Amino acid sequence: MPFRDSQLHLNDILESVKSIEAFTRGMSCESFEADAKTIAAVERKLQVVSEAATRLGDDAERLCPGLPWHNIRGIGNWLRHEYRRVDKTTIWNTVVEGLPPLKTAVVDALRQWRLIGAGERQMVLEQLAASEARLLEVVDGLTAEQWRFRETPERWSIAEIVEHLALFEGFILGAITNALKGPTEDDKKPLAAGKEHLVLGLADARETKFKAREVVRPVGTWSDALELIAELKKARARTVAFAMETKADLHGHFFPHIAFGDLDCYQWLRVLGQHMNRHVLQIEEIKADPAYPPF
Amino acid sequence: MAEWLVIRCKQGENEGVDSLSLWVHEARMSHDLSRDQVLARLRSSREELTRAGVVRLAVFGSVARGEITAQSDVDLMGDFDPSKRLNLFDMVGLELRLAEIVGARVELFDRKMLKLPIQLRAEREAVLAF
Repeated sequence: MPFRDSQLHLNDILESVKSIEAFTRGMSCESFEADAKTIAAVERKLQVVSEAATRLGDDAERLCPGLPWHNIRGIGNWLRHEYRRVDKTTIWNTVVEGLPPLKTAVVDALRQWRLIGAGERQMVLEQLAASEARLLEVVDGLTAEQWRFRETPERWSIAEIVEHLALFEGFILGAITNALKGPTEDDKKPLAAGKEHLVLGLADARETKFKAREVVRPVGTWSDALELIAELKKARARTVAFAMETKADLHGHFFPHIAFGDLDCYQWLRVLGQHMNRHVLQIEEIKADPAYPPF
Repeated sequence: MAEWLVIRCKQGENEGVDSLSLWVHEARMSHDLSRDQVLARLRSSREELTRAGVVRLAVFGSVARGEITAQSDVDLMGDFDPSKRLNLFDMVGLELRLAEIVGARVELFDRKMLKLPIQLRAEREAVLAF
């Protein structure tokens, strides 16, 4: 199951348990049993718990090991049948004794994803896909002369830009992986948080040009255009797979950007998308140069 | 003949179910348990069930009446020890465990929750396991 679905189902469970806590706050077994409306509301939320547990499937045991998942799924069947209505005391016991361990386990499982919410992950995945699509479009069908053309001798050719992008992608993903191995640095969070606009503005700020780090400077490793594009696609696919699967604390680990200083690992994933967009603009500038070779 | 090939269509409640796969599926899960076999199996697990909070357990429904068909669930009703504070998860777990013990699908009922008129009929035909 894609992680996003599991996260949603765990959230459904957590929200239902929280509702049940709110419904029954301050109640005793006796006052609960005398309150038909609350019983009905609790039963409904327990059904949601059971349904979400069913949808979790095998992920349930993997994410929250040791809970009686078969039994949790099974309660829906007990609650559905009016003729077998469960004893009120049994429901109360479920509220006070069955749900707390479930809540603890679900909160723990969700904590793995705490720092990269479903919305954030979605956003970065879309950005990675969109920037790759733009890049592939802008380099589609170029002639050998066009690949090698330079506006001035010291500027990069399109081939060199694509090579740089492939190198940069691998370099940054490696740096992210590496940063995640270290301890979390919560003290850096306030600083990185103010840098979103810098990261996002990266693509448009073509007037501010940075010099590439030595390690990501193109050296002509892949001569063939198709080979270059294949390398870039491979590198991007690795980033996407990482962004899709990671449960690491991306907002708690940092490494410095050449111009912006410390960025957290989530911001770095966004840099990858924006950085590619930035070079798409550069390629468009090259293609607009009066001396650019014709087709 | 293989046990699961013995399929008998019950009058009434299963009318309109025309899916062969459903029948075959249910037939595969069939059992040919006599009432006495069910009782014997439950009694041999009495100690475990008592520990789990079952104070009294009785068989009722078609198995108690001796009308065993390939589709029968084994209907059981129990009294439970209030000091065990059983919750819904425990009840489901108990039902699953009872199915293992009996070797057939089980529906477990809390005796005090049975409503008229089912209650009267159930009490009349119930056979106490322990």
